[in-house]
Amino acid sequence: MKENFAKKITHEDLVFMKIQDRSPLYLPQLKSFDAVIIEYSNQLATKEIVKKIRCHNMESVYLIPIFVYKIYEEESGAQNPLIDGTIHSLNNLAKVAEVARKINNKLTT
Amino acid sequence: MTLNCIIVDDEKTSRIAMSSLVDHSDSLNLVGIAESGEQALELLDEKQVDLIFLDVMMPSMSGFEFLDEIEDNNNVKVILVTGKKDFAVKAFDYAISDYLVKPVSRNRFKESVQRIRKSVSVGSDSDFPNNLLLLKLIRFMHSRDMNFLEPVPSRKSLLGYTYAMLTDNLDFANEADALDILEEAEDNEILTGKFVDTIYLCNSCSNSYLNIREVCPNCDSSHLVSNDLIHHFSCAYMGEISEFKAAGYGETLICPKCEKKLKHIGVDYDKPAAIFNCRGCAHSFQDPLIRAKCLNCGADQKVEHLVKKEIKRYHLTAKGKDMAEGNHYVKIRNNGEQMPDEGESTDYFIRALKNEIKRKSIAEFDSSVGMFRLWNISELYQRIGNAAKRDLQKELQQILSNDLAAGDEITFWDYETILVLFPEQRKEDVESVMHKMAERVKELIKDNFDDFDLELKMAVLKVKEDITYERTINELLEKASKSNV
Repeated sequence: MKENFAKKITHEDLVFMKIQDRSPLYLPQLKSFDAVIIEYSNQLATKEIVKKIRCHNMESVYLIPIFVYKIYEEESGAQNPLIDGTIHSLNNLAKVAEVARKINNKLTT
Repeated sequence: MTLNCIIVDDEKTSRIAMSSLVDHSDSLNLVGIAESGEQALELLDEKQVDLIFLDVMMPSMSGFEFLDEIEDNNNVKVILVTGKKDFAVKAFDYAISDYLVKPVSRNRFKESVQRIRKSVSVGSDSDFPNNLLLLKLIRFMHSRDMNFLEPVPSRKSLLGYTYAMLTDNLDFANEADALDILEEAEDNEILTGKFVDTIYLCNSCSNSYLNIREVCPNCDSSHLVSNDLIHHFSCAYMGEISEFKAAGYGETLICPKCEKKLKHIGVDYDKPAAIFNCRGCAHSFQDPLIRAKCLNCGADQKVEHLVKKEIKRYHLTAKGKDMAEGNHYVKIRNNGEQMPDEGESTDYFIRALKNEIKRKSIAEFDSSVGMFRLWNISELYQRIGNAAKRDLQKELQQILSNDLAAGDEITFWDYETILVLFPEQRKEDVESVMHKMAERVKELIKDNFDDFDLELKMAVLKVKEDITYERTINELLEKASKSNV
């Protein structure tokens, strides 16, 4: 993992990968994480990286829960149907952890 | 079925040679070229790839190191392309699909691709690109408890609507495949659909962004000026509004015949129609043609030749959920660009013809083989587009099959040529059947495309024990090209 761009965040039993939307990413490394948090800088870059993940051929990559981290809310129309939620702070990940757990449980059953 | 492929080679000359071979193959669609293993990994992330032509000796990451990186990716087939034969055993350990030695001959390349295509079509159910996409979609929907897959209007999409996961996984040019996948999934009760909208697509590239306009029936120009036609009741004069304006002043209309002022529409005059004047050829007419110009590929087509599709919102059925959980294989038909009868049926036809030639040498009977050449059909195909072309070919094959006996064989040799084998039937009898079939073909074309005059050619030959199947077909091609039905 390139430390400059990606960061590992642990919340209870879950391990999130936090990346910036414009940072380079080797997608297969996502398979060892429970979810990915993409730090938003602009709509196009976030959309591109989400699309890349969802277009990957490995199931553990294309089905990974994706959350977008936006410090402030922006009026950007409808939410991208490919993401699983938006967060505004990294201090409280309980809500996204719940969503990630639910998705991952579905995938393992 | 077309396979999306990439070429990975550090040598420029090899990349050019391989891309030329790929370009000449109808079964392959080149989606990327990489100069290194690292670039190829990026391509795999970005594109839907079914097949990789992989060089072994590359400086930063060798072909085998690349294979180690993608070991989890079971969906992609690999053909090793190398200058040395020494890697064959190692390649075997990696379970690669085939091994080509440079310089790659056209025949060896074709054989290798055919083998891969066959292995894909008889392989696991999820090997078809469309099945994989559907699997992705339903796994995504199920894992997210997504009740509905909604079509999202989008100006940037080929169809004007996008479907999450599906459209994202398709190249812009292939986005219409999403509708085929969803239709098939609905037919297979994996999804249920509820009508949302009707769209019309370009019959050539499936684009929905069309410029629909009136054109001159004489020269097809859209440079038209329309004028209302005025019927003046009291003197029964009928003329263009411009004549009444010229005779009048300001907004007042005066009849150029009786010089009376026109007062109230519906009371002393009416506007029964409009008249069009073409600025291109000066033709005047009342009924312009309506044509649609595709703003993607530029094809200009009659609106009745556009492809009509329904846009629906989809719900995952219980069967679909079962499939998403892995309890059933995901399997839908592949709707790729293929002739109604391409591939195996043509091979089967050749085998049957070869058998017939062999049988002739040991038994005394007459067998015949016939050919139809739809001489100018490519003009029609061009006009009606790919989707309608496929439908027409299916219909042609169906209508021709109606006149065949149980043991007869029929195949599309290419898009314009149809071959029919009549075992144990005399040439004279076959000729009359072929004439009947020719009439049916002509009727079908006339009924559906009244402005197209099909030039149909036909030939019949006796199957002879001393003439090979290749020569038989060549003679038919030659004889048919000189005939006229």
